Amino acid sequence: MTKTKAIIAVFAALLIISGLGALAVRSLPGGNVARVYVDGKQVREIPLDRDSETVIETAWGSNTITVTAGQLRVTEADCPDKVCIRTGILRGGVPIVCLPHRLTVTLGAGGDADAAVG
Amino acid sequence: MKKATAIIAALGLLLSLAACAPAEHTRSFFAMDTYMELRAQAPEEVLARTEELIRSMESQLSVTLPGSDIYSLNETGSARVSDRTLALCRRALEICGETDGALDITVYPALRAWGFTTGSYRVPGPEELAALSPLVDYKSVALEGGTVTLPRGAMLDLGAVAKGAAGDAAAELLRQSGVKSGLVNLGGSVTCIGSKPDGSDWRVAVRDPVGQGYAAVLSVSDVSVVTSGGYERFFEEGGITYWHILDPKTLAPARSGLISVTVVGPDATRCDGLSTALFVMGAEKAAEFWRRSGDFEMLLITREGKIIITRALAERAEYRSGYGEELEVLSRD
Repeated sequence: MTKTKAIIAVFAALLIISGLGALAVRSLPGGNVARVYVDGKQVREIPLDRDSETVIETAWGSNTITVTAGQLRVTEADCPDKVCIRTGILRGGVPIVCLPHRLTVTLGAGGDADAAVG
Repeated sequence: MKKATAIIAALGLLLSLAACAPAEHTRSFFAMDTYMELRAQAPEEVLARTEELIRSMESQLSVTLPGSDIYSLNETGSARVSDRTLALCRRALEICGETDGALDITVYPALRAWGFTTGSYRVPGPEELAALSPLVDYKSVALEGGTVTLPRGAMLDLGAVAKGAAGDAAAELLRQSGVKSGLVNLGGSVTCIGSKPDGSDWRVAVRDPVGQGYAAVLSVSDVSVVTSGGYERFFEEGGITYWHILDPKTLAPARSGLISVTVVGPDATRCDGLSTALFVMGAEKAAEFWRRSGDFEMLLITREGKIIITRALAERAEYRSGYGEELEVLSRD
């Protein structure tokens, strides 16, 4: 009897924990995130709702990604052409690309959305 | 004790069911000038083949890639094209006709004059646009056998439907490969296959056209969602914003009062073409067009931030970032 109760209690606890976990994920602030890819693989997700500075160091080189007042841009890079810096602010549909460093920054869906259009 | 055994058995069954579904894979790549992401419960090899399909379509449909069907056509004025290109020309021309030229796939010479094709933006003078005006007329495109022919100086561009067509083709290939749940996101043109692995709707966000974040989130399954916005590609000169969606009648950026048009329907090619056409038409004509059509739903955002949405879609929409306070729901009667 106590064994049965213990097993039920353990499963009940697991259910509650997983439920809370799901709720926590769902209640993340909705909004855009930027996704950083290096050589086709996502290496970082940067939220756009708070200011930040992220340095992406790879075998090909270094890019500094800065978020100020919801706007993201590459502010420093040791690539030869600096196209990534000149692209300016990241906007929907148009990613920031640093070809020499195989780096791409794109707007992605954040919060509770699976994809974003527009 | 019996109870406990039953509970454990049930949980075991649930876990084994979850393990049965194929693992979800994601593949992202850059094609058609945009970032694309495929996500599906399918082996990676299936996603690789889907990427290949999209790349092969790009190599036929691109307006800037030497050797593509469309590039050759624009170079010589007449070209034999692949069956796929021909079929897409035909479908695009149907949408041009149906929207009375609000979509016009021959507007390319004007797009070039504004510099939207190269990024060297400029404001062409009225005489220059007037001179280009006779070249812009979708009715002048001739399809005969497998050959497309244009009048001298005219140019064809399938950019307004290419991503939609790629979405349809990709979704078809994935479905044929047995995919029951997936998301084809081609730079903001999204096709949902089935619903999410857990059975709930996909949540597709419509970006806030003026700020960060979202204007709305749509809960949908088994449809395509495509947005056209005046903020995707634009430049400013003398305090005026010029965007890449041109009104084929004036050859200037369409100023219809709308800044974002989202079309939801079963066919991504049509959603893609219509999103551009409805943007050009403006809210009133778009509503009339929707009442006549009946095979798509739409969400319009005006320059003042008002949302105009069709009834069936309104039931699937949540608003964000202060949108939805000013709201008009369209019904058919």
